[in-house]
Amino acid sequence: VSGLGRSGIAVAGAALAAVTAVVLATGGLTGVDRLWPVLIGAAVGLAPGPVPGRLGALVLGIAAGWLGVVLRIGVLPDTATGRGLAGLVVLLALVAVAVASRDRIPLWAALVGAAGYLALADAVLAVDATAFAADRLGALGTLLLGAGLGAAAAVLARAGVATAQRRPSEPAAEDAASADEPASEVRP
Amino acid sequence: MLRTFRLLIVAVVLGGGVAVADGPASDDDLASLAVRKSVSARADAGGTVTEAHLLTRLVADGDGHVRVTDPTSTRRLRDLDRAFGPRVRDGQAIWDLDLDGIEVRRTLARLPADELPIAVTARYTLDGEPVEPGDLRGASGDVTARYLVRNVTAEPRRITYGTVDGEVTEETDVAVPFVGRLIADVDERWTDVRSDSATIVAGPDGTQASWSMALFEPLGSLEHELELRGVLDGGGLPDVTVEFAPVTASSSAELTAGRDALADGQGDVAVLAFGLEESEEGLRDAAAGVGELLAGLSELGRGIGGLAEGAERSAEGAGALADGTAEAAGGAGALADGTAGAASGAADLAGGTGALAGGLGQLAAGIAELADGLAELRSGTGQLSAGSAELAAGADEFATGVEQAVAEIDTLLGLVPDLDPGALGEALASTVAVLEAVQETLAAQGPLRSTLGEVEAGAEEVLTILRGVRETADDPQRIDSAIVAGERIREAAQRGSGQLDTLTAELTGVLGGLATALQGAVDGLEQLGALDPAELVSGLDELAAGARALADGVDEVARGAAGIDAGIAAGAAGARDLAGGTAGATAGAREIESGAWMLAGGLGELANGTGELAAGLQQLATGAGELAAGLAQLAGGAAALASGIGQAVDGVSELEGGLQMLADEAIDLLRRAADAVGADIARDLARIGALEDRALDGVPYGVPDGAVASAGYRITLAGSSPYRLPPAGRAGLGLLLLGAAGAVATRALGAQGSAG
Repeated sequence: VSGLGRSGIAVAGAALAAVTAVVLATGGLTGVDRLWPVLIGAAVGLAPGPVPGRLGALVLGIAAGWLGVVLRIGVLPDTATGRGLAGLVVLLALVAVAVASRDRIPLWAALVGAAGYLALADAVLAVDATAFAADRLGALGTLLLGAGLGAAAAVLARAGVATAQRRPSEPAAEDAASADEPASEVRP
Repeated sequence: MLRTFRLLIVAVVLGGGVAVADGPASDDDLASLAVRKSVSARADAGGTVTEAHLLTRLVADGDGHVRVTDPTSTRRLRDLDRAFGPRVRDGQAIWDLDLDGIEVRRTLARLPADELPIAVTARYTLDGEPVEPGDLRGASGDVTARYLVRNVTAEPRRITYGTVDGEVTEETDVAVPFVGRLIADVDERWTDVRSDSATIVAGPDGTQASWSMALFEPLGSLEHELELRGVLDGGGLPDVTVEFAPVTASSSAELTAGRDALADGQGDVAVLAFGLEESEEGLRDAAAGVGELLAGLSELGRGIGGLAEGAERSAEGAGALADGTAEAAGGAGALADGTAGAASGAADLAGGTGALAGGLGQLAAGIAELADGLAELRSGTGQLSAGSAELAAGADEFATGVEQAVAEIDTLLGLVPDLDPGALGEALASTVAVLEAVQETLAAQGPLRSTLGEVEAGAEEVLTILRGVRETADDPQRIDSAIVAGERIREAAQRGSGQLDTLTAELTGVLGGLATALQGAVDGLEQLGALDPAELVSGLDELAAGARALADGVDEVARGAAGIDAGIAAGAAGARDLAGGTAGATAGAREIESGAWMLAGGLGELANGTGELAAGLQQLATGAGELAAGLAQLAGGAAALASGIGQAVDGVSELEGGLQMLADEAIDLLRRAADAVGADIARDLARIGALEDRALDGVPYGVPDGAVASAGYRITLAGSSPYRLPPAGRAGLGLLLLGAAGAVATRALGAQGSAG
């Protein structure tokens, strides 16, 4: 699916594992002390399709999630209705952007970003809404950095594999052709 | 884990029901109204509050339309349950509720930092040097965090309380009664975490220290300074949470316990005051008792003095006895002289009778001389009688002295059970020695008795002569009267001898008894560390009785001497009669001559015996003198004892003064102290009463009318995770990475990376 071929996937997986190990080992330094933001970034980075649009959608989704939390704890009633309304606003905004961009900013990547932020926020909001209000930027930073590390690892691995595949050799051309094929499917 | 734990604690404190009631609901449709206000504030590491929220939860129960006005912060006030509202007017949230059972309203508002009733300040030192909180990031060394928690709600209030001097009204600062705790969480980079007053528990990824505080007076303090020490190894700041809530006696076990303890203290002070009254009374009683003791000791001193005096008088009596005995000795000497004179007369009679052949006139003269000698003899016996009377008087005086001593000792025994017996024992031992000497003297009275026997024999011989003369005389009638006189002399001598025997026996018995009694007393004194008073008294009683018996015996001596005197007088009369009758007695003159020679010999022997009597009496006088000396020694011992008792009297007098002063001053001092403590307690209770009034001020912005309210506060001081990027840095770095990844993808993957 990623168009990397078996060896490419293995290389990308190895690179991702190395980044993950470094991130978790230096969690105190970076503030990223959990794995899932990294995995979100890596997933989006590895996914087929234009990378900048997907990464942009990821950032947009995270920003929309932040906006939804701000609405929820700062404006909307602290009720099930308020929480649902905030979620709805986020969802509709992302759909609107995806439609307007003709999916160049893919909805799925934006939803992954929004889900990540809301998941991070919910855990804290469940305990202390006012505390999260003070630390919402911290959550945003953690998520963005984790996702950035994961995405960077994935993209670098993919680029390295692609560079190797462009050299004139049969097996590599085979791999490159198989890599190109899915990409053409998503091209509009 | 620690964070969860802390949040649980927060839930306990903030939800713990620090209820302050403002009375029952007044609205008819409103059955009950409860409001709970929670403040959550965030502060930087130094304690400066950066952000605070007020969460209000109203629970109304009733039926129908009611309006509830809640004084609250209106900054960014919003209804947490509805999109709009509540209405705000004059700093109050206004709720128009259509009740059909229980309705809940929640609001959230920003709270100005200066509305917080508690201020927290944090200061840090590293290796003893003050540092800014940020300097601890990544630092290593000995670190100290000091947290100053202050209740800033104190306001002047008038309080009234009762004291022993009446009711007191004063103005004093009364703060809202807050109780709370400070919790500091440090991570594993803090080691050797310690504090003088905190409860420290270890968690899986760090250590938690917590302090409990009563932030009000008089049970607690408006300020608490808390210190946490540790060793940092590339560490950072603790995460600190301060939680507190206002309390009332009904909501706080601490406040209730404190108030009850004070009330108990008030009761204790009352008991103390009563005890002081009792103590004062007891001390005064003790002082009175000591006064009585003092009086008793004084009396004892006087008694001992009297004993000394009695002993002195006894000594004087013994001295008089000695004098009297000496005088008796003198009398006996004179008797000896008289008897010698009589012997000489008898010799003359012999000469005269020898010359009787020449004429009985010379016989008459000789007989007249005999009469003179007899008169002189009578004078001697009279002197002996007078001496005996004086001796009797001395013995009587001695007895009186001893009886007085006995009386004094009786008094003394009643007062002092532990009389020092040394001097008394010594004096009694001396007395025993004297009495033994007197006994020896009496034992030496054999010569006197033999002298009297010789007088009797002489008289018998004279009678024999006179009877011979009578047979040859012309006028036997005249000789008869001389015979009668001679018989009287013989009888007097017989009686005198008998009386002397009786006297000696009695005196020996009496003195023996005296010596035994005194020796018993001395032994008793020696055997016991303390005087055996009963034995002493009994000994002295015996001494007195003995002295009385001595006096009686001496009286008998006197009476015996008087008998002798009477006999001699009769003899003298007979001699005179004889002188008258000798005119016709020429025929028996030779016989008379030989008889007179015999008489002279007998009288010479009488003179010798009487001389020996004088010597014996002199010995008796010496013994009495020794007795006087012993008694003087007794007087000296008693005087020393009296002096010791005088010192004791001084000491007891000081004791009495001390007790009196204790009763007067120390008790008064204690009473004043108790009054002061009682006033302090009453003041503290009044201040606690004022705290009750101020508890409502601990609810932010106040309480809706008729509501039951509770409040809780939490201030969180930002800790630091030393190696963590700040949030903005993390976000920026994340965006940078994402952008770079996009660029790399565009360049490296070309169309598939950029355009898909």
